[in-house]
Amino acid sequence: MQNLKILAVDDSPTMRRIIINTLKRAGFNDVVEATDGKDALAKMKVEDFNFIITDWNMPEMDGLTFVTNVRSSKEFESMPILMVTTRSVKDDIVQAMKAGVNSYIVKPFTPDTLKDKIMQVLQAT
Amino acid sequence: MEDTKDLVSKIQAELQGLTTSITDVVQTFKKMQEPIAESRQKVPEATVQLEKITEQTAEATHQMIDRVENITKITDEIVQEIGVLRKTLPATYFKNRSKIRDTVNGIEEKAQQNLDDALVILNALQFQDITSQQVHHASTLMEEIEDRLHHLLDVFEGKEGIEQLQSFIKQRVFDPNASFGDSSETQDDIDSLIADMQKNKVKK
Repeated sequence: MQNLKILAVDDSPTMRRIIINTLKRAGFNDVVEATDGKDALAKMKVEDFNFIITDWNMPEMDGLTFVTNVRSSKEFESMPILMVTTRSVKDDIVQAMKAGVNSYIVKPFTPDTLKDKIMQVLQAT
Repeated sequence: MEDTKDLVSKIQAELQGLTTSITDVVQTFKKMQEPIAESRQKVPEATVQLEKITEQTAEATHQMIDRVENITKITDEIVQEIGVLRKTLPATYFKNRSKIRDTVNGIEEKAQQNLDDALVILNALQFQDITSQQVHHASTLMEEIEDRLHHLLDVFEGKEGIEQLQSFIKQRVFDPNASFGDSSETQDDIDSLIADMQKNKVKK
């Protein structure tokens, strides 16, 4: 867990702080934040990450486009991606899974749900 | 000849009545114009107020997160100091000092409880992201009404088709269905859906 470097992508500064604090409490201390998909892709070009947590509704580049972009790259085809969003409509979840997310959490989430989903995704990938 | 005269006067009377009706309708439209214009002007004021609510709520939330982070940091230090105390004292120290041992254990448990509660408070602050999306949705709906009222005024003033309609709707990113409910049931449904999708993928 300590070696895992996580990229947390969310346009809401509140959500980024909550996610980072929750991750730290769960033992994930190496977390880098990005404000949207475009910012995240730029950060992925200069830093190596082992896990991505991304929101869906974001300006510049939304989460779905970001995931599609990540998956289209050979380098990141097996990158674990967890989507954390308010969108809970079935069609959205199906769309996100088809785009390539490994798991999906609906906001508001609990710290246990976040930790469990990260562990599940890590075990499965 | 008399019949024709009668008919003409009847038509004249009808036309006069019609003219009066049209004048009344025009007057009613004119009367309606003012409150519509007034309502349209109030929409930007309302959206500004809504945006202020979002900004101020975000600011207050960040102040709360600052405090929660501070409490967490201090409580972590207390837990670490208890650990140091335990390591510093000889292993036999607490054997005959059960009251001191219970007090130290109690402090540690309470500190841990504070850390757990701090995390619960922190996660409850997710409401800010969700309510800001709901406010964005409300602002966009109000701007849509503003657009329609503006269009209606253009029709009254005979401008329709002459000027291109100006849109008052700002670009905002939000989920129109964002809600702060108990998401545990929703999460269970999502987990089942994902599990089904993954099973089907394996079968294929």
